Amino acid sequence: MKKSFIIATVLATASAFAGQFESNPVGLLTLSSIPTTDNLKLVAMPFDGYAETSGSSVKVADVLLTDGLSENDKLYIPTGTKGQYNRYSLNSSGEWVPANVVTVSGATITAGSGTPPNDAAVPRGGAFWLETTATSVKLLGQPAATMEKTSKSVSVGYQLLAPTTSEINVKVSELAGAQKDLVILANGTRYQKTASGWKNVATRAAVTDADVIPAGIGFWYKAAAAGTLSL
Amino acid sequence: MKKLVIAVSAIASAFALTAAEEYASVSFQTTGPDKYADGETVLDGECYALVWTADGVFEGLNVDGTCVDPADEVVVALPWAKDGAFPATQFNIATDTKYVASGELAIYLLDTRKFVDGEAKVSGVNAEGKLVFVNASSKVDEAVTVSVAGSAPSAKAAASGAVEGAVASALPADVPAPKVTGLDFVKVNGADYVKLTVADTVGFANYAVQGGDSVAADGEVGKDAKTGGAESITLLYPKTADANFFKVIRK
Repeated sequence: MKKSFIIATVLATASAFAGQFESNPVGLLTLSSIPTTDNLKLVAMPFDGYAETSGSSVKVADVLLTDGLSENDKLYIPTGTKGQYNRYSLNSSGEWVPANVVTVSGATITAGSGTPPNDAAVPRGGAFWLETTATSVKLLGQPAATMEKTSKSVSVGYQLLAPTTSEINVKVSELAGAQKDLVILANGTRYQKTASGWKNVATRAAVTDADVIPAGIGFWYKAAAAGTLSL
Repeated sequence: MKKLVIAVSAIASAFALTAAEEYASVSFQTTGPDKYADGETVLDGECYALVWTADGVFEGLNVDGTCVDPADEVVVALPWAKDGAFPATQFNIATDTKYVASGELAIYLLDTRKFVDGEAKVSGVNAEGKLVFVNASSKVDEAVTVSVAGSAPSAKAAASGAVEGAVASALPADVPAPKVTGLDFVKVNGADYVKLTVADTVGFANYAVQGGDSVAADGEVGKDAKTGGAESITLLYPKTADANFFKVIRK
């Protein structure tokens, strides 16, 4: 009896020690079913960069695998100004080269003045557009330290949002939101918050657990009032 | 000093001390194949240690081969392993020592491997017979109390059997957790691998990659291993559909 106790104690100590010695996890997320409109995919940033602290912006070049993409594929990253994006182009060496700043209005893209910064960066929980004919997109990086949703403030109007982890699909039904808030997926699917909860705008049906925003996929959110979402 | 109180011999050889009245003898062996914690068979020349504990509780070893509990003692450690086992060995211990008078003696398999590009080499003991690097230790069978009955100090106990769960040696408290600073995909001899670049490693720990299909990365541990210490090291892990997340652990 005594010996059993002794062995159990020693093993428990060793196990606890081993846990402390693990590195940060890193991983690969393959997105093969991103809604696409005109070869434009709205991609989420579910990872931190390897060398970045949690929550800071991540260089897209560090996490977006260019294997499978094609020369002259485009990357659009929101500048923070409504409708304005930094546009990058993929060169033959697999590098994202700053192209120009563009303004998007509906289906119209207008080149503006100015040159995007060299390093395209997006914060975890942010999203970016990828213009490509590729059927899947691969992201690799450092997942969030905890696989829990993160609170995200939204302001009145449109914003690009994304789930903040690489594992949690966000159920539309669980979004707090205010009445008349809109969720718009890149394939055109729309959900609106009503007095009785979220509904699919096209079918007027109440959302179910099957209505999710998958990890790795970005979406538009139009807030009728400022608030906080758990993503 | 220890050589004066402990004598060791392969049982098969002629051995005069067993007959001496001032010695008690204890024999150990394992049937083998003995295994390290990662399932690999013990390498020839690997060390086994005869450990004495005053209270019967061995607190383990530090990575430099010293005992976590200073009251414990590695009486002798030698590169005994041969053909994946601890060959039958007899210890003859002077009866007027604490090793006989009190406490418990037990044999531990040590893991003194250091890795270079996945190749393991035992580090063994130095010229002074001291351990210099112990990655882990595993108790061999039951501890044995050496007793002396009456005035006839001739107690003899034998233990044989398999090696139990390994306990990782204790590292200094200020050893940092390794940090993955890069992840790439490479081909090696036509096979696909994930290559992790790792910083914050130390030269007295071995590192390997564990992969899995979730962020916990709690699946299989890769074969590639390296001893740390350089500014950065790289580790390979087979690229499979089932392993999309990876972390670096101590091997």
